[in-house]
Amino acid sequence: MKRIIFVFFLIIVAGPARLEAHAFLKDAIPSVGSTVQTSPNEVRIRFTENVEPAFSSIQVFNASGKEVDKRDVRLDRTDHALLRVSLPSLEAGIYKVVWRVVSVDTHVTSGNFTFQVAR
Amino acid sequence: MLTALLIIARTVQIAASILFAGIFTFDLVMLAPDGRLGSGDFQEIERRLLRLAVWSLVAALLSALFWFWLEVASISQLSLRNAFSTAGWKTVLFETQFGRVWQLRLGLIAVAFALVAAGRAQVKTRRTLIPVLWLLSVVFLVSLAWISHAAAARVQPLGLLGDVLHLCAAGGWIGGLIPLAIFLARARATASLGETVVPTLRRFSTLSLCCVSILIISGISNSCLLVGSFYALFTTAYGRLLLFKLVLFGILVGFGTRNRLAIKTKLLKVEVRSDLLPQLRRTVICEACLGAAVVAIVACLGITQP
Repeated sequence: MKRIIFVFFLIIVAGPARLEAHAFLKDAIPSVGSTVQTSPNEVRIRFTENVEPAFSSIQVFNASGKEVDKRDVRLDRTDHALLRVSLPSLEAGIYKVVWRVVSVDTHVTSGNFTFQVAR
Repeated sequence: MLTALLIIARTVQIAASILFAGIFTFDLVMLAPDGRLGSGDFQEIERRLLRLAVWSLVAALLSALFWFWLEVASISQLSLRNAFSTAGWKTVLFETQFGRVWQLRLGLIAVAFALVAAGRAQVKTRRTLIPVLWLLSVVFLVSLAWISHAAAARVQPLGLLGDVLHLCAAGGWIGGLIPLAIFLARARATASLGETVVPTLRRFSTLSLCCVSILIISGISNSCLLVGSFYALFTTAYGRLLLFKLVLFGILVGFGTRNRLAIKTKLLKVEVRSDLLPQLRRTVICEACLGAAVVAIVACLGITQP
């Protein structure tokens, strides 16, 4: 019993990093604020925790505020914290990515970032 | 407004779930071993416990529906009035983890209602039904872990395991306080229960001690995962709420220790004294009220960003 408690404490102390408990942007492709040389095929955003696809969205807008993504937001099959949306061939310019997600504990978070296509 | 309503719904739902599990844990662990279950006094206590179970189920059902309504409005970004006028509730119920957990919980409530009704109607089948109801109540309680902060964690199964243990321990200890108060009230009213009071209290005391140990260990685990640092305990809203919960928990443990050391030792040394039972019952009711306050803080923690 003492061993079990000791191992449990070891796991707690040495083990995992802190949970976020609300889904926030962890990383994105194209990266936040980055400049890419060619038009990306899709925007991929990885969140800090798993999200509910039914209530999660990514929208990509061009400089004039027109939505340019293919409106096919989907969750990655193997990674339920990775959300993707397809893009057509983009012209050079600055694009704004707006995301809103619901984590599996029902908390709603949202945010936005921009990237630039240099071509 | 929505936040305040969510806190109320969560508080009632969690409290009802803890009480429901506590009732059948008390019945199974505290009452059953005495082997006097055929006696009129025990039947009367069980009858009262089953009536309490019905009320806890009613509270669980109403707060579950209310919580679901609030979540539909929150997730779908709709007004409360419009939350059920669209297909939003179907999407929440069938396409989210929260909805799937709610399907399970509503199903368990329906089954529990039927079993409790059968137990109240037929004394003979009660003995068979109590273990089934206990198992069902534990599943009902721990299913809350799948909609908690821990469920969203990518650190699994530690997050869920900590939450499940925490809920089970709360059910065994906090949930057993009202049933204990009912038992003490009956023990005071009738002399025939006198010789069973001490063993029952001893069993409850031992179970409480185990539950407090589990609450402390799982609480440390959950806090490490959710708060992250000692500094965050004082600088974030979540940390300060958690500190407040810890203070109340400390007072609760103090009450429990006082019961264990002061009153129960007296009960063990001398004949069951009738003046000690009301005193003990009052302390137990105070503990239950403090437990309810802790549950309200847990409800606040559930909607606060760690």
